[in-house]
Amino acid sequence: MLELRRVSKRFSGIPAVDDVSFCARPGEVTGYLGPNGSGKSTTMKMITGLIEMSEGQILFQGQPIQDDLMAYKKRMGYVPEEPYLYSHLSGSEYLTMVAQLRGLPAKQSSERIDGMLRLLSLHDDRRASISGYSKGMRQKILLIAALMHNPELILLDEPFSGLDVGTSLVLRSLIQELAARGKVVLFSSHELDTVERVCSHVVILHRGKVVADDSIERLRSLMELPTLEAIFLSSPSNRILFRSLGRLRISSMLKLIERLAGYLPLDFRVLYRQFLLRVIDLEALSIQADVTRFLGQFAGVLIMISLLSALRAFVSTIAPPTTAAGWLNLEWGTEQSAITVMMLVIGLLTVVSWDSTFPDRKDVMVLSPLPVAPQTILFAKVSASGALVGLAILALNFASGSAWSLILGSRRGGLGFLQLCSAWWLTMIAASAFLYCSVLTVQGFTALLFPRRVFLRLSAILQLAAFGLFLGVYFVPPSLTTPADMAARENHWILASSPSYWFFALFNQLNGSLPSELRWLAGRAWIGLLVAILGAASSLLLCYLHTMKKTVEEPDLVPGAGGFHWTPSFGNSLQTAIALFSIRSLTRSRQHRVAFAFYLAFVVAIALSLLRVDLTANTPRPVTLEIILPTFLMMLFAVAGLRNVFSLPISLTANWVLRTTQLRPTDEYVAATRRSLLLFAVVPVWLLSFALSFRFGPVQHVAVHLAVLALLGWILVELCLIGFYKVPFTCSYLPGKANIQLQFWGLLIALIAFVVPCAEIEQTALRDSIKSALMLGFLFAASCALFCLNRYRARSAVIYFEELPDEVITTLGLSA
Amino acid sequence: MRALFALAICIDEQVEIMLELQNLCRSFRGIPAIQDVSFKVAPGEVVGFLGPNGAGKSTTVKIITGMLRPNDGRVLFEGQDIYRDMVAFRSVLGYVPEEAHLYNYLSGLEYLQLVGRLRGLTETVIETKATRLLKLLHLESWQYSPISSYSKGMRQRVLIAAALLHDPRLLIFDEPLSGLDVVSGRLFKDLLELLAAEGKAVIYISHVLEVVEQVCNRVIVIAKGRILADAPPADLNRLMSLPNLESVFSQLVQQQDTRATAQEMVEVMRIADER
Repeated sequence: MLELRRVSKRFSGIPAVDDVSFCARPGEVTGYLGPNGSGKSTTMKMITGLIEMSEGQILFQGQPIQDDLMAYKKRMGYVPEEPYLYSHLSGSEYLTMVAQLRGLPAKQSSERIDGMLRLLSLHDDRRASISGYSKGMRQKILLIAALMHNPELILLDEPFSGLDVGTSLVLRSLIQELAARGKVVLFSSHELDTVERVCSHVVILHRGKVVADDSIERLRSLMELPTLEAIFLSSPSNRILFRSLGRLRISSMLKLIERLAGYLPLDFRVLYRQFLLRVIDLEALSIQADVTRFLGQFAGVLIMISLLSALRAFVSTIAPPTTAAGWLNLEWGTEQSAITVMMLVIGLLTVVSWDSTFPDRKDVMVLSPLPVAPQTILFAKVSASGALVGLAILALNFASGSAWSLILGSRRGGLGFLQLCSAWWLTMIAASAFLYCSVLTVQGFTALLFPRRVFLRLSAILQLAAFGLFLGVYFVPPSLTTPADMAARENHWILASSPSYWFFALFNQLNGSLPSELRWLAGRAWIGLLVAILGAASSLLLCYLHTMKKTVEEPDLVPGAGGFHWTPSFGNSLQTAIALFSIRSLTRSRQHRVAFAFYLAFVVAIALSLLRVDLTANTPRPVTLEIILPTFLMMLFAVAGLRNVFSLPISLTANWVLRTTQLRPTDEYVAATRRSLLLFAVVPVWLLSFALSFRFGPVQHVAVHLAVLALLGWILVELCLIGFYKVPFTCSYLPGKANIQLQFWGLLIALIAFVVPCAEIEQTALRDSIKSALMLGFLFAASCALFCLNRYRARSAVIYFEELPDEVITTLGLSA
Repeated sequence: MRALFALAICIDEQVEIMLELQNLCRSFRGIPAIQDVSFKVAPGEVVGFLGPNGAGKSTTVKIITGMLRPNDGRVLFEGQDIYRDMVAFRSVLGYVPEEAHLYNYLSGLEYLQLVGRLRGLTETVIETKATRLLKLLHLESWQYSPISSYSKGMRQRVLIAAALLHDPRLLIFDEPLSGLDVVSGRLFKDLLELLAAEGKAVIYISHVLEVVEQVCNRVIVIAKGRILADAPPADLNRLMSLPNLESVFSQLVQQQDTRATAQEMVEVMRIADER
C-alpha cells in the first residue's frame, strides 16, 4: 500500500502541495485528478522519489521511501507524462538498457520485452530510432520500461494521451488486470470518462490540497451529480470526506545495504557506454546517425596530423641543422607547435562536448526513476569524457611523439631518448588536463552561481567565446623559438599569459633542459594544473550534489520576461517573417550557432590581423593588397558561411506550418532570403571594413574600395541565391549528399583562388580614376544582371522542402 | 447539440457543400494507403473522422491540406478543385496536426507572429489577435517563454490559436484534446459548437470516442484505407444495435479481444519469476 501522510512541498516559501494525505491500496485502481497548477505533478514527482518533500512522509508497505530509495525504485514502475527518452537509441536498445540498469537477467528480460512489444504492436518498429516514434509509440516504450521488472507499485501520469483506441482499450484492461493481481496502481489523467470507468477510488487535488478522496459511487451520490466531470467542475473548496489512514505499521526491519558484486559494475558499464556516445554535442554537430563513426573519423584526422608531423621529423634528418643553436631552434619550435596543436585540439573538443560532463535535465528525468545512484552517473560521465580526451591525446601523439623523441633524443643517448619520450607524453597529458579541467571549472561554477535560465544563455555564449578564443589564440600570437626571443623584455607578457609557453617550460623541466631564467614559467604550469584539477573536482562534486536536485525541483515552466520587443520591419510581412525566422533560428539553435561561428572565426581572425596592422601604423597607409585582400576574404567567408548554414535544416517536422501557409509566389521568398543575406552578412562585414579602413588613405581610394566591397558582397549574395528556392533552414537533403560539405569547401577554395587576382586588378585600377570608374561600372552591371536573372528564374520556380531525386531515378523505380 | 442535429438533417436537402472528397486513392510504393475515399462536409457541420492507426486517416488529411497529392480522385472546395488555386484554399484552411511539431526555440507569441505574417496579416491585427487569443487560452503569462518549455497541452493551445488566427472557413483538428486539462477541454468543446454555428466546416479526428459522440454531427469511420461508415452517431448506434460508439467502433474495426490481451501481458510480465 502507498500512503502519503501530511506531505507538503514548498518552493521558495510558496506551498505547491499542502498537507496532502491519502492512501492507494493494492487491488484498487486509484485515480488522481486535478487541474493544472493543483500540485499533481509535484506530488507525482515526490511519490517517485524524484524530489524531496518539505514536510510529511511517503510510505510504501509501511516504510518511508526515503529510508531506502534504491529498494523502493526497484519495486516501482513509473510512466511519466512527458516522454523523456534517449532518442538516439532504438526502442529495443532503450528497453535493453533499462533492463540492464535494473539488474534483470538478460534472457528473462529479453523475453519479457519481446512479448510486450508484440502485444503492443511495436515489434516491427523496435529497431527504429526513437527519434522517429510518434508520441503514442514513445508512451508504449515507457509503459514496457515501467512494467518489465514486475513492480508492485505502478504510477502512471497521463498514460492515455496519444494512444489510439485499440491501445487505450488494452491499457485500460491492463490496469484493471494489474489491480486484480494485487498491485497498487495510481494514475492521473484528464480523461474523466476513463477515470470513471477504470478507477474504483479517486483523489482530487485543487490548489495543492486534497478536496476529495473516496470511491466514485460515494462521491457521485454525495454530490448528487451525474458525472465526475460535473463533480470536478463544481467548486471544490471544502474537503468532502477524509478517509482515515491505515494504521502505521511500525517496522523494525533493518535497512538492507546488500549490493550484489556484479550490480555496480554493470550499472556503471551501461551508463558509461551511453554517455560516451552522448559526449559529443550531437545538436551542435548535427550527427544524426553514427557517433562511433564520427569518433573514428575524428581519431583518423588526428592520426593523420600526427603522421605528418612524424614525416617532418624524418625529413629533417636529411638536412639536419649544423649548429647547436640550429638544433635548439628546431627542438623548441617542434615542442611548441606540438603543445599548441594539442591544446587547440583539446580546446575544440571541449567546445564540441560542451557541458556534457554535467547532468542535464534529460539525464536526470530518465535516470532518476531507475535504481541508479547519482555517484555512478558522475563516475560514468567523468570516465566517458576522460576517455575521449585520452583518445585525442593518444591519436595525436603516438606517431609524432615517438618520431621526434627518436630524432631529438638520440643526440643524448639512450637514456636521453627515454627522458624525452616521457617528458613529451607527460606534458601532453598535463596540458590537456589543465585545459579540460579549467573549462570544467568555468562551466561548473557558472551552473552553480547563476539561476538555470541565465546559465543556459550564458553557457551558449561561453561556448562560442571559447571557440573563438581557442582558434584566435592558435592563429594570432607570434612564435618565440630562440632563447633570445624568450628572454626579451617585450615578450615577457606573452610568456606570462600563454599557457602553451608554461607547458613548454614544463616539458623542458621534465626533460632536464630548462634554462634557469625560464624556471618561473614551469612553476606557473604546475600551479595552473593544480588549480585547474582542484577547481574541476570541486565544481563537479558541488554540481552533482546541488544542481541535480535544482534541475528536478525546478518548475517546468517559468513565466518569461516581456522586456524589449522591438520587431523591426524588413519590408512586407513575408520578408519580415522570413528574416526574423532566419535570425532567430541562427542564434537560438546550438548546431547553427556553432556552424556559423566556425566561419565567423575566420572573419574575426582576418579582422584581428588587420587590426594589428592598424594599431602599429603611424602614418596613413596606402590602399594596397594589404587591406584589399583581407576585406574581400572576410566578405567571402561571411556570405558563403551564412549561405552554407542556411542549408542546414532545423526542426524539419515543424515545416508543415510553412507549407500550409505558402500564399505568395516564390520570388518573394527569394527576395526575403536575399534581404536576410544582405543584412546579416554583407552589412556587418562592410561596417567592419569601414571601421578598419580608418588608417588607410587617401580617402578617394578608400571610398572606391568600400564601394567595390559592397558590390562584391551583392554579387556574392546573388551567386548564392542561384537555385536557392527554399526557405532558410527548412530543406532536408538526400542521404547520398553527405559530401555536400566537401563540395562547398571545394567551391570556396576555388573562389578564394579567384579573388586574389581580382584584388590585384583592383589594386592597379585604383591608381587611375578612369579605370576605377570602369571597374565600378562593370561590377554594378554584373550585380544587376545576376539580380535580374535570379528574379526571372524565381518567377517560375517552386519552393521545395525536400531534395527530390532526379526524374530519371524515380522513373526507373530505383528510389523505391 | 440539438441545434447541430437539426442542421445535420438539413444537409440531406440540397445545402451547399463546402468540402468534397471524390474517390481519393493514394498508394505508397505500390501498397494502397487509401482507396476510393469520398465524403462531403457542409458549412456548420462537425464531422468526426475515426479509425485505428494505419487506417489512412493521416494520409487523407495530408491530401486535404495539400501536402500530398492523390494518385487518383479530387478534392473540391466549394465545387472547385483545390489544385486549381492552392493559394486561395490554403488561406481559408486552418489545420491543427496531431503531433505538436513547432519551432521550439520561438516563444508562443513569436510563433503566432510568424504564422500571422506568413498569412499576410498586418502587424497591428496580428498583435491584437495573437495577444487576445493567448490570453483566452490561459497562455498569457508564458507567451514570451520558448515553446521548448511548454507542456503538451500548452503547445496544443498554441496550435489552436495559430489555426484560428486568420479566421478560416474550414478547420481540421487532429486529436485536439490530447494533453488539454479539463477546463481547456471544455472550452474547446464549447468553441467547436460556436465555430460550427458560425458556418465553418470542421473535421474532427479523435480517439476519444465519448467526446466524438457528444460533439460531432456525423461520424466517418475508416479502416484499412476504406470508408466503413458515414452517419450521425445516434444512427450508427441504432443501426448496429449497440449501446455506444465504442462498441460500434470495435465491431466495425474488428478489434482484438482486449481483455485477453491484457491478461496475456500480465502473464508475460511474470515470466520466469517462478522458475
